[in-house]
Amino acid sequence: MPQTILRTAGLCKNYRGRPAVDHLDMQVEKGAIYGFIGRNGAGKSTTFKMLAGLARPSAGQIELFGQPLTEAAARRRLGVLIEDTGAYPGLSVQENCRLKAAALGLEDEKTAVQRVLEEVGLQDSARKACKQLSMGQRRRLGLALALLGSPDLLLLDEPTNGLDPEGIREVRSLLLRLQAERGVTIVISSHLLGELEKIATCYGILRAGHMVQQITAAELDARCRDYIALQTSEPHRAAAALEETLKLRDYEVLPGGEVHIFGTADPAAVTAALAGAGVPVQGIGAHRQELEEYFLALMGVEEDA
Amino acid sequence: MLELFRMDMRRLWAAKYLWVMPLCAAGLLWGLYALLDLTSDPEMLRAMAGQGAEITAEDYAARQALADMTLLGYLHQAMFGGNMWLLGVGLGAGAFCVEDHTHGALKNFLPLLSRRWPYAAARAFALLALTAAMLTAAFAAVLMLAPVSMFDGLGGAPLDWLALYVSALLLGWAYALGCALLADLVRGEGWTMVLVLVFSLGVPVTLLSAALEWLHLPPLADYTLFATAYTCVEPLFEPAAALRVALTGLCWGAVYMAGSIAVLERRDAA
Repeated sequence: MPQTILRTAGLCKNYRGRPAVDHLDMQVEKGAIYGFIGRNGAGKSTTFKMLAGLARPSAGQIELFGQPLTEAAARRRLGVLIEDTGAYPGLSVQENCRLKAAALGLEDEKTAVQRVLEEVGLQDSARKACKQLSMGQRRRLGLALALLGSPDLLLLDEPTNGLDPEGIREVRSLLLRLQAERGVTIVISSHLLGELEKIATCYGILRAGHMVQQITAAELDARCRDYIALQTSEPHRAAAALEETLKLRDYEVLPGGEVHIFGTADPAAVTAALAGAGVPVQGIGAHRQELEEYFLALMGVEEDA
Repeated sequence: MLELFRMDMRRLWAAKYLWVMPLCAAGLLWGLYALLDLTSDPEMLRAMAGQGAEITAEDYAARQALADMTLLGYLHQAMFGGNMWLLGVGLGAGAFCVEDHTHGALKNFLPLLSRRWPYAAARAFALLALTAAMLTAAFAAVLMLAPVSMFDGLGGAPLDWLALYVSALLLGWAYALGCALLADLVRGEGWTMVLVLVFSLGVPVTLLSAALEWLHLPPLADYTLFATAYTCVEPLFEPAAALRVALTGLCWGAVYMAGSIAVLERRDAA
């Protein structure tokens, strides 16, 4: 049975009476890469802050490694990157890392710092003052600080913000390596859903501070449906023709003349039916729904409900 | 807590606080001495009079007044005459403490702690080290003037020097803890430094004193750090004054420390 590393129950955070996080129930298993998804202002960063013990929950419980968050031993197994890097700008990259290493009480600070700087690709900038770092380099430093002390659980809020494509790929490889080699559990938020899809083993989808859905990557894969994307200048006529001729009801008309037809319809039959009805077709092709579309669809459905 | 203290000491050193602030303290005392020496030098006064400056008998007498002063008296005047000591310590402590908030560094350390008091305690000891370093530099700078100074010897007994050192350390440390509390409350570099300046110049104490007098209440403002430093610290050891200085310093230090812990516990860190 998988071990639960992180569990929240009824977690709430109110700011001036307004809920930022609303009765959040969340569960992360050992070794998982948990993609934490939500729109801006959905409460992701606030949740991260509460999980890291930086913000006091208004209500609810948090358990880390089966212990309450108040246990110091559990907290020491946590690595955190939330919002900005949190480095002293006048000090060098190396010195900032050594300060964190000193706070952690690491025995061989120098080696530990060197290792994390190599892991995030900052070894050549070790002596550079933090104020001289680029945005991407600052993000890497934030990751290095989070990795110090070999944490068992990483909370990473937008870790790829400001990184170039190569940097994003490197961070992805690093996280996958950490999970595979050290069994590190990672909770990661990102607006780059395509990137998240490449590494996440499960997802938590947050809307207005509330957990809309927790789903494993396998379940998501099963739910992401195949569809036919149809491009036409007369989408509403096309929809009527599909209903009448092929008895199709499961479709979606998008702005710009795009129609998504879900289910097992055959593109050739669709083309024939539309041709028969005199509806012009500019393009047609089979597609598979991705995380981004699933997320947007879920948000749309929830809002309509 | 020990790890956090080591971290703070490391930052004091790496961010140059531990040697720039003491050097500033020593430099200010040397600079002030040089200015006094220059502006009271009879040759200089005569030259200035020759250039048309209005030089009075009082200006010529100033040299003699300085020559009657001891190094201990000079040190006391320079540090507590205008409360420059508290201003110097306040600026150093305020800048050091507010950096944890402005750049979000707290986010890297607080997740390690289930309570906030170890952070506040480690910082308090680091501020004690910073205050002691500045004070030691100030004393050393004045003692280094002994062979060449215009003053009438060192002055005072070793106990007087020790009493002045301990008084300045206690009041300075308590004031530094007050500035740490200010940094925890304000969390912004600019405003923290402005408020440190306002407090160090005695504006709130003056206002409080006037308000108490107007309301016919006891002169409680006399028990503030600012007023105690100004009125109770003496160059020559007096047990009653020293005891009051010690008690005032310790009480305010404890109040500020408790305030910091309460603020850190109650407010979200990010």
